[in-house]
Amino acid sequence: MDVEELKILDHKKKVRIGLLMGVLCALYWGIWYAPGYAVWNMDILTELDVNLAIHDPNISYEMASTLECIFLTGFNAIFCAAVLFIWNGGLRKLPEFKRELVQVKGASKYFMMAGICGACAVSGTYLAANNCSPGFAAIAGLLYPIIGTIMSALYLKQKVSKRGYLAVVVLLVGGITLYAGSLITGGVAGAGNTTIGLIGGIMAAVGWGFEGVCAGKALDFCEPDIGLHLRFCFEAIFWIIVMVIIACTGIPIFSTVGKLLDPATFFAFLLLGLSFAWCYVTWYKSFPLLGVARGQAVGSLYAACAVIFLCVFFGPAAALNYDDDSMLIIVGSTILGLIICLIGSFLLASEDTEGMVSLREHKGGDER
Amino acid sequence: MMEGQPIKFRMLELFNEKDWWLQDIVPKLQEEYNLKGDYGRGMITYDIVELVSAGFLTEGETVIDEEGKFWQGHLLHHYTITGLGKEMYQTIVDRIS
Repeated sequence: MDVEELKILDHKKKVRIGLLMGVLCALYWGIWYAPGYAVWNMDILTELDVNLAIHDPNISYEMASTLECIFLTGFNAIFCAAVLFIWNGGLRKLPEFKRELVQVKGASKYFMMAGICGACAVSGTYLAANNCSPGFAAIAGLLYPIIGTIMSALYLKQKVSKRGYLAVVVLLVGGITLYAGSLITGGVAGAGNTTIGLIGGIMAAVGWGFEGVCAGKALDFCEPDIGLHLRFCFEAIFWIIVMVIIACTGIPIFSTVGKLLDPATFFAFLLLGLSFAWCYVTWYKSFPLLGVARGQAVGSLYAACAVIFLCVFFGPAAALNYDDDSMLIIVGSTILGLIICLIGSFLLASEDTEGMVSLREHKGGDER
Repeated sequence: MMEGQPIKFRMLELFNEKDWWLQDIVPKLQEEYNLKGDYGRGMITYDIVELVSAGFLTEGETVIDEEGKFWQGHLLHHYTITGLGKEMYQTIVDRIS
């Protein structure tokens, strides 16, 4: 085998690893919904709901659900940060963590921004799910690659091919089709305030889209594993400050925190941390290899994975929320959506990547 | 200036000074950052791949390591910093100084 053949193979291998990272990201993100769904029925959150009602009998549903979202998002970030300490310790990267943490202007400020965007996105998802419906939240979240793609081309100056744009559109159509059945039969209205739910949906799409761009900017000159770890540490610090401020006003937000010592609850939160941290590890690793637009597009397969894992762990009726009348529309749109998502992924996976040795155009006269 | 700083800052500094072959720069960084062994070699090589991907470096001449000087059977690239890489290095210098 000559050098040229080996170079082509080497490059194809790089893109293949990037795609594998994107698919693994979708799998971990999808499976995160299983403990994320189960934890709502555990004492740590059901008793928090009761305690909030005892503290203020007139508390509205929206207020109580927002406080529970803050609690859950905050502890999700804390567990992710803890899991990543073990991960980076095992990879012998903690000295690099220290080097990047102290370089605020040079590195960590971008991850601080990514952490705040991520905090906005995750809490927005919970707000949309609680106030509208989980299906609406998933669709709103799926819109993030549009923002990510536009910003990666305009701000990061990364190359996005026509086929890449087409794949993003196909994946979006697939994701929306997945949940179209639920929207047609039930609409977006849920138990809470629809306006808050819609704002939550916008927070999810804008938050994740901008997080990818902030991260992409810093990942140019930082280690992905460390960048991700810094991002979760900053998000955890942000939520701890928010929760302490809430607790100072007398609201019993920490009243059920002792329940974390219960093995089943601890295990559920550990699974949340593991799946979310791993999803982000693979997501961030895909960006330098595929670019932000393609990395986000492959990652958006999470919607399909979430449906599959929820069906496996909770049964199709509970996962898709259908009855005898709506079963045909919901199951039909879910299967159609899964097929469209697979076509979108195939478009990306089968793209000719010869011109993608670098994700950016080089300026003329670069060479020495 | 960048010794002891995040590893990619140091890489950009070294590439800004001169062109490097993969088999020359990796052992130097392994020594500086105490990343000995095959694992450290793979980690630093991956970081260089990311810098190429970001458009900061370009690959020039390439040979196959047939003698096993660095990584038998693998490609050894000669890297040159790009205009974008020089700009990024200058931006980092301005930010941290």
